[in-house]
Amino acid sequence: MRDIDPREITPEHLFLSRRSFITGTAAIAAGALLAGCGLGQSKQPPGTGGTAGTPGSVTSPTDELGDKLTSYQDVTHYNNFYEFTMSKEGVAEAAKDFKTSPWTVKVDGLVQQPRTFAMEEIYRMFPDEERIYRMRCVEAWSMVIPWLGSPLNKILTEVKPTAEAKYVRFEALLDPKQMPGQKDDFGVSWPYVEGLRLDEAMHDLTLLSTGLYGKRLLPQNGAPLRLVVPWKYGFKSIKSIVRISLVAERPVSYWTGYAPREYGFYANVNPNVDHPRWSQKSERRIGESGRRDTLMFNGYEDEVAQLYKGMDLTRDF
Amino acid sequence: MRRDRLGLAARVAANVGALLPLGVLLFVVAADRLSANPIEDVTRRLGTDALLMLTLSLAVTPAVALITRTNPYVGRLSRVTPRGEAAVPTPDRSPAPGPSRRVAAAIWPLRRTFGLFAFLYAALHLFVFTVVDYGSRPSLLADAVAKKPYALAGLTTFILLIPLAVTSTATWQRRLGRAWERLHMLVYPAAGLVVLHFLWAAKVVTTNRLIWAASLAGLLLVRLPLWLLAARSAGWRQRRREN
Repeated sequence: MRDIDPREITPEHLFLSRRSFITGTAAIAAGALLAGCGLGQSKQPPGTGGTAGTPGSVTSPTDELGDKLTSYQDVTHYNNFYEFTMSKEGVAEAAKDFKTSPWTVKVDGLVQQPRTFAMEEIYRMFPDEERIYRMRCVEAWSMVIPWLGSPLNKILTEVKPTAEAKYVRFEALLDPKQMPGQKDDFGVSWPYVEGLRLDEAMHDLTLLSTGLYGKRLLPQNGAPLRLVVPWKYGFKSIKSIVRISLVAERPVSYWTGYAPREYGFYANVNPNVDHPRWSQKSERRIGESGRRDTLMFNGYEDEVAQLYKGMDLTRDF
Repeated sequence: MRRDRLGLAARVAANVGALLPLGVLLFVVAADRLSANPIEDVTRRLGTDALLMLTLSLAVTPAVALITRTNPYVGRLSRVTPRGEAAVPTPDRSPAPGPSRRVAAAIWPLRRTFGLFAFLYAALHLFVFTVVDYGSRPSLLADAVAKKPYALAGLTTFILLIPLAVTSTATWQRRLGRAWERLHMLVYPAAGLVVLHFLWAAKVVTTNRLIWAASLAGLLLVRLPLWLLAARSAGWRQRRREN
């Protein structure tokens, strides 16, 4: 266990971006109104659709551990998004005509003020900040991605969860016409569903993402709105969300429904708890050769370990 | 001799064809067209190539049975050519027409051709997994293999293929005689294990993988009636005579 310097908890580039937020409030407010893009005059207008495009600007070339960002090309062309295709290299092409506007997100369930948000409202009400997170896929590869988005807790606070709310259930779009992969199911019916415990959902690291690399999300990355939970395996970070519900019962995640023995509800990145069929001790970082050791909670142990105090992570995997 | 020319053509075509996947792979590597996860991509391609070669090798015997309308398992051991290869079986009753026999004779040696290529691709597949992927981290490799059924099944498959590759020459075939046939039955458990290997290795069982599994299962299952008939016509009858 390393000692924690408070500066380590919030990465430096976030401090910097927050500072620029404060100093440039007027410009940002104007920018937000004009572009609906939130933070930063440096941000380019949101890119839309397609596989094409170049990255926008980012605040740091590395994450807080000094790991380099994965290239924009790889982040946008190596994706798991079975709703489109099971080929990771094929998602960008298969999803290029995916219609992400107009788009609304219903936030309901055990809340005092259920509400349906249009994406434009989300962009306006929950300004983007940049978060550079490692993403560790359950298939033992990983990336470092500069996300744009807003902590999920902001939107949850907005709708005021009631005391009975214990979990958050997320639901992705169901539209087999646009998402050909939804014509087949693997024994679990679409749409993709994910869930978090309320305290996990309220954690500051849990991001509701609208963009990456300074631009709006492309379809292959889960446009227009996706979850990012950096200390959990990638499949928890549900894409193309249409509904967020506060619930009392633990939701059954898509992959848990498929194979409960292999994919647990928590799905915390943990090198000491293997997938029943393969090791989780190491990973391949996309863009690097060789293997890296997988870090406990994907390197966010200091921030999130207390959420699981007293739990047997071998059982609650 | 026309028959030899046909046999030569078949062998050349099979060797060239079997080298194609390697050529494609080298091109893809040279042109930097591997996926963003290149080691995984190469490993998967080599595994698929090995699987294809094994499937082709196992398809030869049923193909010969189909073409000659005879049972290749009947009396095969009694007819060994001067080169040491088991001869293409002659039909017991109705003589098969000439051309089909020539075709059968031409493809019969391809069991070995495709079998050896299956071994080559499997060896490359294992090399990339152990040396390129885990070479710098032997302790991780031990962990990845020892506890994981898919890796164990794959490794066992490869180990089973080693004696088959070593004894694939005519010399060994002659030297081992009847035992050679028995030894080479190891290809059947190898085929079963490789199915487990690629079904366990994937996150989900895709249609694609099910097609591979069904092909291999089919190629093993069509042998069952041939084995049963051969056993009845040879062994049982012989035993009855002895009694």
